[in-house]
Amino acid sequence: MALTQKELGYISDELASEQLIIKKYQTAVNQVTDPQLKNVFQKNISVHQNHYNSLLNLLK
Amino acid sequence: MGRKSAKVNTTAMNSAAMPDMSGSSISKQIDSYTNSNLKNVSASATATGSINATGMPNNYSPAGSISRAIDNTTMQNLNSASSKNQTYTAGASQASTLTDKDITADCLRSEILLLQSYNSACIESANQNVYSNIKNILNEEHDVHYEIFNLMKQKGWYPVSNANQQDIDNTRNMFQG
Repeated sequence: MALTQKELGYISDELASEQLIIKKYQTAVNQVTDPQLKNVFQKNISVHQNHYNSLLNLLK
Repeated sequence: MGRKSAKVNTTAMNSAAMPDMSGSSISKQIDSYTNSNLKNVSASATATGSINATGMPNNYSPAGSISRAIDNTTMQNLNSASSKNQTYTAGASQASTLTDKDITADCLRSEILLLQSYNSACIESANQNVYSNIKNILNEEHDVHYEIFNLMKQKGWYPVSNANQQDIDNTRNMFQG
């Protein structure tokens, strides 16, 4: 089944959001002083990167 | 109170995944979160009418008069909590810096918004493949959100108050039998 208009709209929005949140965590990692927070933020960068890639795969 | 302002803004924010967060407006956005976290208790209160301060990370709002009563006591707790550790000053000339708490709260808020939009995307999926992919992402996002929320709770940055036992009993009695 082909991608619906609505699905495409959501996927596009989510891609933009994922991109933004990855940048946010990249900035946050360097700004926080607490190592525990640093670890979590660092991990979340890769989690969101994976989500970004899954979304991109839906457009193939 | 992040929870309250979240409730006020839900409709507006749902229409776009991450509104007003690009470019120069990011700091403004963060400022407004922090402001509502620390200051705008009364402003949010008048804006909502029914306030959800149950301490849930999301927009959890049980209906009914009991929850309203709980909200009032919780609000007082949170009021005093926020006035005690009000570290943020929004002076025009002062350079205000984001604390670890501010940054983490901002990330939590972003995760919540993202979760909400993924939830809508999941509901609106027509393709099996899109549906299961989005649902997987949604599931993992929940874990990410929960971890940040728990961290904040541990550090005392996200005060939650327990439900009153009498209110729990009343609610159970209302729905039992």
